[in-house]
Amino acid sequence: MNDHEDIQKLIGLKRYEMPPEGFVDDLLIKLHERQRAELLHQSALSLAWERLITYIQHWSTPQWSLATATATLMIAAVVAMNSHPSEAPMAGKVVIPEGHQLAVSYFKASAPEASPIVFDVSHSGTKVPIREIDLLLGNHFHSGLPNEVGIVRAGPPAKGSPSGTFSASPTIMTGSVK
Amino acid sequence: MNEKVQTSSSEEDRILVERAQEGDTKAFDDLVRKYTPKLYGLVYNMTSNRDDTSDLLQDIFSKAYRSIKRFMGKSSFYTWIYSISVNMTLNYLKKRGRHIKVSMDDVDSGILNDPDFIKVTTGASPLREVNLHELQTRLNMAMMKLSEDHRAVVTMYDIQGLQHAEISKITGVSEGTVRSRLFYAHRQLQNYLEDFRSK
Repeated sequence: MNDHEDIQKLIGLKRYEMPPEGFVDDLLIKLHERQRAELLHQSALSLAWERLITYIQHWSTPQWSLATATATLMIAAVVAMNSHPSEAPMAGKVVIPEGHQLAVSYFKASAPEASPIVFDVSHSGTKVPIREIDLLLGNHFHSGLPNEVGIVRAGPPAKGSPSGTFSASPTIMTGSVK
Repeated sequence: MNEKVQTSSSEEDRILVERAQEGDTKAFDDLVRKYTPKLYGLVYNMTSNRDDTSDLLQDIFSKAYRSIKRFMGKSSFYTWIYSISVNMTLNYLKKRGRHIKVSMDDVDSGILNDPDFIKVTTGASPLREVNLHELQTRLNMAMMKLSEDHRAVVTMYDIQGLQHAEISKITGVSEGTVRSRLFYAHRQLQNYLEDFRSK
Protein backbone atom coordinates (compact mmCIF):
# COMPACT_ATOMS: atom_id res chain seq x y z
CA MET A 1 0.00 0.00 0.00
CA ASN A 2 1.55 3.34 -0.97
CA ASP A 3 1.36 6.67 0.83
CA HIS A 4 -1.39 8.00 -1.37
CA GLU A 5 -3.60 5.01 -0.70
CA ASP A 6 -3.01 5.41 3.04
CA ILE A 7 -4.07 9.02 2.94
CA GLN A 8 -7.00 8.20 0.73
CA LYS A 9 -8.25 5.63 3.24
CA LEU A 10 -7.73 7.95 6.15
CA ILE A 11 -9.55 10.85 4.53
CA GLY A 12 -12.17 8.39 3.33
CA LEU A 13 -13.21 7.91 6.96
CA LYS A 14 -14.92 11.28 6.69
CA ARG A 15 -17.71 9.54 4.79
CA TYR A 16 -19.05 8.44 8.17
CA GLU A 17 -19.85 12.00 9.08
CA MET A 18 -23.58 12.34 8.72
CA PRO A 19 -26.10 15.17 8.71
CA PRO A 20 -28.15 15.50 11.90
CA GLU A 21 -31.25 13.37 12.11
CA GLY A 22 -34.26 14.89 10.35
CA PHE A 23 -32.02 17.16 8.31
CA VAL A 24 -33.65 16.30 4.98
CA ASP A 25 -37.16 16.95 6.31
CA ASP A 26 -36.09 20.26 7.84
CA LEU A 27 -34.41 21.23 4.59
CA LEU A 28 -37.57 20.45 2.63
CA ILE A 29 -39.67 22.57 5.01
CA LYS A 30 -37.25 25.51 4.61
CA LEU A 31 -37.18 25.03 0.86
CA HIS A 32 -40.96 25.07 0.64
CA GLU A 33 -41.06 28.27 2.71
CA ARG A 34 -38.53 29.83 0.37
CA GLN A 35 -40.38 28.71 -2.73
CA ARG A 36 -43.60 30.20 -1.36
CA ALA A 37 -41.84 33.47 -0.48
CA GLU A 38 -40.28 33.65 -3.94
CA LEU A 39 -43.62 32.87 -5.53
CA LEU A 40 -45.32 35.64 -3.55
CA HIS A 41 -42.56 38.07 -4.42
CA GLN A 42 -42.86 37.10 -8.08
CA SER A 43 -46.63 37.38 -7.85
CA ALA A 44 -46.41 40.93 -6.54
CA LEU A 45 -44.07 41.91 -9.35
CA SER A 46 -46.01 40.08 -12.02
CA LEU A 47 -49.26 41.55 -10.71
CA ALA A 48 -47.87 45.07 -11.00
CA TRP A 49 -46.59 44.26 -14.48
CA GLU A 50 -49.90 42.72 -15.48
CA ARG A 51 -51.77 45.83 -14.32
CA LEU A 52 -49.47 48.04 -16.34
CA ILE A 53 -49.95 45.90 -19.45
CA THR A 54 -53.71 45.85 -18.94
CA TYR A 55 -53.74 49.61 -18.52
CA ILE A 56 -51.81 50.08 -21.74
CA GLN A 57 -53.96 47.53 -23.57
CA HIS A 58 -57.04 49.29 -22.26
CA TRP A 59 -56.00 52.40 -24.11
CA SER A 60 -55.41 50.54 -27.29
CA THR A 61 -58.83 48.86 -27.47
CA PRO A 62 -61.01 49.98 -30.43
CA GLN A 63 -63.55 51.85 -28.30
CA TRP A 64 -60.81 53.85 -26.62
CA SER A 65 -59.01 54.38 -29.90
CA LEU A 66 -62.19 55.80 -31.35
CA ALA A 67 -62.78 57.99 -28.31
CA THR A 68 -59.17 59.14 -28.29
CA ALA A 69 -59.25 59.84 -32.02
CA THR A 70 -62.55 61.75 -31.72
CA ALA A 71 -61.23 63.79 -28.81
CA THR A 72 -58.02 64.51 -30.67
CA LEU A 73 -59.95 65.58 -33.76
CA MET A 74 -62.23 67.82 -31.72
CA ILE A 75 -59.31 69.45 -29.97
CA ALA A 76 -57.56 69.92 -33.32
CA ALA A 77 -60.72 71.44 -34.81
CA VAL A 78 -61.15 73.87 -31.90
CA VAL A 79 -57.51 74.87 -32.14
CA ALA A 80 -57.82 75.33 -35.89
CA MET A 81 -60.96 77.44 -35.53
CA ASN A 82 -59.43 79.60 -32.85
CA SER A 83 -56.07 79.92 -34.44
CA HIS A 84 -55.33 83.26 -36.04
CA PRO A 85 -55.19 83.14 -39.82
CA SER A 86 -51.97 85.07 -39.77
CA GLU A 87 -50.45 82.12 -37.94
CA ALA A 88 -51.90 79.70 -40.45
CA PRO A 89 -51.46 81.15 -43.88
CA MET A 90 -53.91 79.79 -46.38
CA ALA A 91 -54.20 79.33 -50.08
CA GLY A 92 -52.47 81.61 -52.48
CA LYS A 93 -55.68 82.75 -54.23
CA VAL A 94 -58.80 84.46 -53.00
CA VAL A 95 -62.26 84.82 -54.47
CA ILE A 96 -63.68 88.32 -54.44
CA PRO A 97 -67.40 88.30 -54.96
CA GLU A 98 -68.58 90.50 -57.79
CA GLY A 99 -68.87 94.19 -56.96
CA HIS A 100 -67.02 93.80 -53.71
CA GLN A 101 -63.94 95.50 -52.52
CA LEU A 102 -61.22 94.09 -50.40
CA ALA A 103 -60.52 95.94 -47.23
CA VAL A 104 -57.07 95.37 -45.86
CA SER A 105 -55.59 96.89 -42.80
CA TYR A 106 -52.04 96.65 -41.74
CA PHE A 107 -50.56 96.65 -38.32
CA LYS A 108 -47.23 97.79 -37.20
CA ALA A 109 -45.56 95.18 -35.16
CA SER A 110 -44.75 97.75 -32.52
CA ALA A 111 -48.12 99.51 -32.52
CA PRO A 112 -50.81 97.18 -33.75
CA GLU A 113 -53.54 99.63 -34.42
CA ALA A 114 -55.66 99.11 -37.45
CA SER A 115 -55.93 101.66 -40.15
CA PRO A 116 -58.00 100.17 -42.94
CA ILE A 117 -56.68 100.71 -46.39
CA VAL A 118 -59.19 99.90 -49.06
CA PHE A 119 -58.09 98.40 -52.31
CA ASP A 120 -60.25 98.18 -55.32
CA VAL A 121 -59.95 94.71 -56.61
CA SER A 122 -61.40 94.55 -60.02
CA HIS A 123 -61.23 90.80 -60.41
CA SER A 124 -64.61 90.42 -58.94
CA GLY A 125 -65.99 86.95 -58.91
CA THR A 126 -62.66 85.45 -59.82
CA LYS A 127 -59.74 84.10 -57.96
CA VAL A 128 -57.19 86.79 -57.33
CA PRO A 129 -53.63 85.65 -56.92
CA ILE A 130 -52.19 86.80 -53.68
CA ARG A 131 -49.31 88.12 -55.64
CA GLU A 132 -51.62 90.81 -57.07
CA ILE A 133 -52.76 91.89 -53.64
CA ASP A 134 -49.14 91.98 -52.65
CA LEU A 135 -48.49 94.21 -55.63
CA LEU A 136 -51.35 96.47 -54.66
CA LEU A 137 -49.88 96.77 -51.21
CA GLY A 138 -46.48 97.31 -52.71
CA ASN A 139 -47.83 100.07 -54.91
CA HIS A 140 -49.53 101.64 -51.99
CA PHE A 141 -46.30 101.79 -50.07
CA HIS A 142 -44.35 102.61 -53.23
CA SER A 143 -41.17 101.08 -52.00
CA GLY A 144 -42.76 97.77 -51.09
CA LEU A 145 -44.04 96.67 -47.76
CA PRO A 146 -42.35 98.55 -44.92
CA ASN A 147 -40.23 96.53 -42.59
CA GLU A 148 -42.27 97.48 -39.62
CA VAL A 149 -45.30 95.73 -41.04
CA GLY A 150 -45.77 92.70 -38.95
CA ILE A 151 -49.16 91.56 -40.10
CA VAL A 152 -51.39 92.63 -42.88
CA ARG A 153 -54.90 91.37 -42.57
CA ALA A 154 -58.35 92.10 -43.71
CA GLY A 155 -60.05 94.53 -41.44
CA PRO A 156 -63.68 95.45 -41.33
CA PRO A 157 -64.73 95.37 -44.93
CA ALA A 158 -65.58 98.60 -46.62
CA LYS A 159 -69.18 99.03 -47.45
CA GLY A 160 -70.23 96.14 -49.64
CA SER A 161 -66.87 94.46 -49.55
CA PRO A 162 -66.52 90.89 -48.43
CA SER A 163 -65.32 89.90 -45.07
CA GLY A 164 -62.04 88.21 -45.21
CA THR A 165 -58.79 87.51 -43.56
CA PHE A 166 -55.30 87.91 -44.86
CA SER A 167 -51.91 87.58 -43.55
CA ALA A 168 -48.69 88.74 -45.04
CA SER A 169 -45.08 89.16 -44.41
CA PRO A 170 -42.94 91.63 -46.34
CA THR A 171 -42.36 88.97 -48.92
CA ILE A 172 -45.27 86.59 -48.67
CA MET A 173 -48.94 87.18 -48.51
CA THR A 174 -51.63 84.62 -48.20
CA GLY A 175 -55.24 84.86 -47.30
CA SER A 176 -58.85 83.98 -47.78
CA VAL A 177 -62.16 85.65 -48.15
CA LYS A 178 -65.24 84.18 -46.62
CA MET B 1 -24.35 -4.63 -12.21
CA ASN B 2 -23.15 -1.27 -10.97
CA GLU B 3 -23.66 0.17 -14.45
CA LYS B 4 -27.21 -1.20 -14.47
CA VAL B 5 -27.96 0.46 -11.14
CA GLN B 6 -26.56 3.74 -12.42
CA THR B 7 -28.63 3.56 -15.62
CA SER B 8 -31.83 2.89 -13.72
CA SER B 9 -30.97 5.74 -11.36
CA SER B 10 -30.42 8.07 -14.33
CA GLU B 11 -33.71 6.96 -15.86
CA GLU B 12 -35.45 7.55 -12.55
CA ASP B 13 -33.88 11.02 -12.38
CA ARG B 14 -34.93 11.80 -15.95
CA ILE B 15 -38.55 10.99 -15.15
CA LEU B 16 -38.45 13.04 -11.95
CA VAL B 17 -36.84 15.95 -13.77
CA GLU B 18 -39.47 15.88 -16.52
CA ARG B 19 -42.23 15.87 -13.94
CA ALA B 20 -40.55 18.71 -12.03
CA GLN B 21 -40.23 20.67 -15.27
CA GLU B 22 -43.97 20.29 -15.74
CA GLY B 23 -44.50 21.84 -12.33
CA ASP B 24 -44.80 18.71 -10.19
CA THR B 25 -43.31 19.93 -6.89
CA LYS B 26 -43.48 16.44 -5.38
CA ALA B 27 -41.10 15.22 -8.07
CA PHE B 28 -38.67 17.98 -7.19
CA ASP B 29 -38.99 17.03 -3.50
CA ASP B 30 -38.06 13.47 -4.44
CA LEU B 31 -34.92 14.76 -6.15
CA VAL B 32 -34.10 16.79 -3.03
CA ARG B 33 -34.56 13.73 -0.81
CA LYS B 34 -32.42 11.63 -3.09
CA TYR B 35 -29.52 14.04 -3.46
CA THR B 36 -29.41 15.77 -0.09
CA PRO B 37 -27.22 13.14 1.66
CA LYS B 38 -24.65 13.19 -1.17
CA LEU B 39 -24.65 16.96 -1.54
CA TYR B 40 -24.56 17.40 2.20
CA GLY B 41 -21.33 15.38 2.29
CA LEU B 42 -19.89 17.42 -0.56
CA VAL B 43 -20.73 20.82 0.91
CA TYR B 44 -19.96 19.89 4.51
CA ASN B 45 -16.53 18.51 3.65
CA MET B 46 -15.76 21.64 1.68
CA THR B 47 -16.96 24.10 4.36
CA SER B 48 -16.44 22.14 7.62
CA ASN B 49 -19.44 23.97 9.01
CA ARG B 50 -22.90 22.55 9.55
CA ASP B 51 -24.80 25.85 9.45
CA ASP B 52 -23.05 26.96 6.30
CA THR B 53 -23.85 23.59 4.78
CA SER B 54 -27.52 23.92 5.64
CA ASP B 55 -27.70 27.45 4.19
CA LEU B 56 -25.81 26.50 1.08
CA LEU B 57 -27.99 23.48 0.43
CA GLN B 58 -31.06 25.69 0.57
CA ASP B 59 -29.45 28.05 -1.92
CA ILE B 60 -28.39 25.18 -4.16
CA PHE B 61 -31.79 23.52 -4.29
CA SER B 62 -33.56 26.87 -4.66
CA LYS B 63 -31.37 27.67 -7.63
CA ALA B 64 -31.96 24.21 -9.08
CA TYR B 65 -35.72 24.67 -8.63
CA ARG B 66 -35.64 28.00 -10.44
CA SER B 67 -33.44 26.62 -13.23
CA ILE B 68 -34.89 23.16 -13.71
CA LYS B 69 -36.98 24.24 -16.70
CA ARG B 70 -33.78 25.26 -18.45
CA PHE B 71 -32.11 21.91 -17.73
CA MET B 72 -31.87 20.34 -21.18
CA GLY B 73 -30.63 16.92 -20.10
CA LYS B 74 -27.32 17.20 -21.95
CA SER B 75 -25.63 15.88 -18.81
CA SER B 76 -27.18 13.75 -16.09
CA PHE B 77 -29.12 15.50 -13.36
CA TYR B 78 -26.48 14.16 -10.98
CA THR B 79 -23.66 15.99 -12.82
CA TRP B 80 -25.80 19.12 -13.15
CA ILE B 81 -26.73 19.39 -9.47
CA TYR B 82 -23.15 18.56 -8.45
CA SER B 83 -21.83 21.32 -10.70
CA ILE B 84 -24.22 23.83 -9.17
CA SER B 85 -23.19 22.70 -5.69
CA VAL B 86 -19.45 22.84 -6.31
CA ASN B 87 -19.63 26.24 -7.98
CA MET B 88 -21.85 27.78 -5.33
CA THR B 89 -19.76 26.35 -2.51
CA LEU B 90 -16.51 27.57 -4.07
CA ASN B 91 -18.01 31.03 -4.53
CA TYR B 92 -19.17 31.01 -0.94
CA LEU B 93 -15.74 29.94 0.33
CA LYS B 94 -14.04 32.68 -1.66
CA LYS B 95 -16.36 35.23 -0.06
CA ARG B 96 -15.95 33.74 3.38
CA GLY B 97 -12.18 33.99 3.14
CA ARG B 98 -10.28 32.92 6.20
CA HIS B 99 -13.10 33.36 8.69
CA ILE B 100 -13.56 29.68 9.25
CA LYS B 101 -15.76 28.44 12.00
CA VAL B 102 -15.46 24.69 12.17
CA SER B 103 -18.43 22.76 13.46
CA MET B 104 -18.38 19.03 13.19
CA ASP B 105 -21.00 16.51 12.34
CA ASP B 106 -21.99 13.42 14.18
CA VAL B 107 -20.06 10.39 13.07
CA ASP B 108 -21.94 7.30 12.12
CA SER B 109 -21.17 4.43 14.47
CA GLY B 110 -20.34 2.29 11.46
CA ILE B 111 -16.89 3.82 11.51
CA LEU B 112 -16.01 1.76 14.57
CA ASN B 113 -16.12 -1.39 12.45
CA ASP B 114 -14.28 0.09 9.52
CA PRO B 115 -10.95 -1.71 9.06
CA ASP B 116 -9.19 1.53 8.17
CA PHE B 117 -10.42 3.16 11.38
CA ILE B 118 -9.38 0.13 13.42
CA LYS B 119 -5.97 0.22 11.79
CA VAL B 120 -5.51 3.87 12.64
CA THR B 121 -6.69 3.64 16.20
CA THR B 122 -5.10 0.35 17.22
CA GLY B 123 -2.11 -1.76 16.61
CA ALA B 124 1.24 -0.35 15.75
CA SER B 125 0.11 3.25 15.47
CA PRO B 126 1.77 5.51 18.03
CA LEU B 127 -1.61 7.19 18.43
CA ARG B 128 -3.55 4.03 19.14
CA GLU B 129 -5.19 5.79 22.04
CA VAL B 130 -6.65 8.34 19.71
CA ASN B 131 -10.35 8.72 20.04
CA LEU B 132 -12.92 9.25 17.39
CA HIS B 133 -13.41 12.93 18.15
CA GLU B 134 -9.71 13.65 17.89
CA LEU B 135 -9.45 11.85 14.60
CA GLN B 136 -12.40 13.79 13.25
CA THR B 137 -10.88 17.08 14.39
CA ARG B 138 -7.54 16.32 12.79
CA LEU B 139 -9.09 15.22 9.52
CA ASN B 140 -11.18 18.38 9.36
CA MET B 141 -8.22 20.59 10.15
CA ALA B 142 -6.14 18.87 7.49
CA MET B 143 -8.89 19.35 4.93
CA MET B 144 -9.19 23.03 5.76
CA LYS B 145 -5.48 23.51 5.09
CA LEU B 146 -6.03 22.59 1.46
CA SER B 147 -7.03 25.19 -1.10
CA GLU B 148 -10.74 25.21 -2.00
CA ASP B 149 -10.13 23.63 -5.41
CA HIS B 150 -7.97 20.84 -3.95
CA ARG B 151 -10.48 20.27 -1.17
CA ALA B 152 -13.30 19.92 -3.68
CA VAL B 153 -11.41 17.27 -5.62
CA VAL B 154 -10.39 15.35 -2.48
CA THR B 155 -13.97 15.44 -1.23
CA MET B 156 -15.38 14.07 -4.46
CA TYR B 157 -12.68 11.47 -5.06
CA ASP B 158 -11.52 10.26 -1.66
CA ILE B 159 -14.67 10.75 0.39
CA GLN B 160 -17.48 10.39 -2.10
CA GLY B 161 -15.87 7.91 -4.47
CA LEU B 162 -16.49 9.76 -7.75
CA GLN B 163 -14.33 8.91 -10.75
CA HIS B 164 -11.82 11.28 -12.33
CA ALA B 165 -14.01 11.65 -15.43
CA GLU B 166 -17.07 12.57 -13.37
CA ILE B 167 -15.11 15.14 -11.35
CA SER B 168 -13.76 16.55 -14.60
CA LYS B 169 -17.31 17.05 -15.93
CA ILE B 170 -18.54 18.57 -12.69
CA THR B 171 -15.68 20.99 -12.20
CA GLY B 172 -15.15 21.75 -15.87
CA VAL B 173 -11.42 21.03 -15.76
CA SER B 174 -9.53 18.28 -17.58
CA GLU B 175 -9.01 14.84 -16.08
CA GLY B 176 -5.30 15.59 -16.02
CA THR B 177 -5.95 18.62 -13.83
CA VAL B 178 -8.12 16.52 -11.53
CA ARG B 179 -5.33 13.94 -11.15
CA SER B 180 -2.72 16.60 -10.57
CA ARG B 181 -4.85 18.34 -7.95
CA LEU B 182 -5.34 15.01 -6.20
CA PHE B 183 -1.63 14.29 -6.25
CA TYR B 184 -0.68 17.61 -4.66
CA ALA B 185 -3.53 17.46 -2.18
CA HIS B 186 -2.48 13.98 -1.03
CA ARG B 187 1.07 15.13 -0.58
CA GLN B 188 -0.07 18.01 1.61
CA LEU B 189 -2.36 15.76 3.60
CA GLN B 190 0.47 13.32 4.23
CA ASN B 191 2.36 16.06 6.02
CA TYR B 192 -0.60 17.12 8.11
CA LEU B 193 -1.58 13.58 9.05
CA GLU B 194 1.82 11.94 9.32
CA ASP B 195 1.28 10.66 12.86
CA PHE B 196 -2.01 8.99 11.95
CA ARG B 197 -0.64 6.92 9.15
CA SER B 198 0.12 3.27 9.77
CA LYS B 199 3.78 2.52 10.14
